[in-house]
Amino acid sequence: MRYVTVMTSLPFDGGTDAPDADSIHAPASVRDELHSGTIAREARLVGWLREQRSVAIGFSGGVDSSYLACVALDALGPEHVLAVIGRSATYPAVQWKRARSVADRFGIPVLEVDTDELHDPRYAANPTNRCYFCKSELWSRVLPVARAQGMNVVLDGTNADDLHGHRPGRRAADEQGVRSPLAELGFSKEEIRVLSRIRDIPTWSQPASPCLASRLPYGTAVTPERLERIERAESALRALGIAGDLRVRDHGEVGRIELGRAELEQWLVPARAAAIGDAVRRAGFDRAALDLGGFRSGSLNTLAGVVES
Amino acid sequence: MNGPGEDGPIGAGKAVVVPDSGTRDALADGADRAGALSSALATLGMHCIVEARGSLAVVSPADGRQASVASLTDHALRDAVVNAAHDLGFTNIALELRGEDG
Repeated sequence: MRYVTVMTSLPFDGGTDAPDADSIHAPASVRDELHSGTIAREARLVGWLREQRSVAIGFSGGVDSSYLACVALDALGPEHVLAVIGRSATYPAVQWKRARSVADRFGIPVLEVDTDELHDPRYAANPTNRCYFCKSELWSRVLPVARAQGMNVVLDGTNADDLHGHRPGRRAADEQGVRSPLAELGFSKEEIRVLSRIRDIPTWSQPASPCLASRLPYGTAVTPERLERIERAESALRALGIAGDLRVRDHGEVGRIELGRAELEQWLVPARAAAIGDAVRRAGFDRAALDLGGFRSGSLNTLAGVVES
Repeated sequence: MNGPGEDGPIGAGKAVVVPDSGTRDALADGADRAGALSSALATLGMHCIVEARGSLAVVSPADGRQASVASLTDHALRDAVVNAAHDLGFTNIALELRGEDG
């Protein structure tokens, strides 16, 4: 287990409330995106966090947990907030760097724990409820650490949109008493992005970034080698300049690339298509294929028949 | 474009199937759907070899038909291709990307 604590360098006045529309220092175009309900929701979140007095947050450096950690920091101060990063082979290195960058920028206290879901055969077999075993492992590591650090409640960044669809990891959080204030208070992903932008949290426009195992079809064993190949391929594609949503799905010898719609059109130009094919093959796939339907969150759920197309 | 385990070129309109269940029925079904998709794509001007990998169709331009790839930048055509695949029971359709040397 690694303990890395980053203490805040920002003064905490103990009284920062949620912004109101007039006090937001943001372009008018951004303010216009805000509805009064969104502002009120953040105020309720601040109140909810203060009722908890201290919180540990499962922190991935994604849009949701970054926003939650920043609001918690404002609401409670750094002595009463702990962001916990769970590190394993399924957690992309680039995402870890983002998480550390956000924590450093805002002075969020961070603690890292290693998780070992790959050695759980129930997880490694990659069943359709794989996420349940991963989250069970994560929270079983985070909760003792949070208690040892004196934190009253453990939170995750689940939002209201996440409550729909195939989310077996939710059950693990529920079983271990992890609270999800963003979901409980009705925050949509879009609201979180807007509010993050106002707070100048750099993750506001960041694409969703689920764990690397989500690129493997159910039933395909999750191994470090497969995860590393996927991570190499996605890193190589990012290095070519691909922005926005990106997944390299592992179909054995074939690496299937999913890109956001706008990116897809750009990269279907033959010379560019050849370049991304080369990049994926160099990463270790024998063959590369570009999905003509573009990026779809959870597309392997559809492929496996877990959810309807 | 070569199919799995084949050494020679495959002509336009051919289809291959990679089993995902191993049953004779699944193999036949995959081959039928791949063949039907190949025909459907030809009517859209896409002369492709279709490889069925379970619910995933991997398509590659038939020899000498690389130019048809460029037309996929047109989103209307691309949508038609995707819909044709869905109509035949494929959840995903992906274009095989070959290197500069083909």
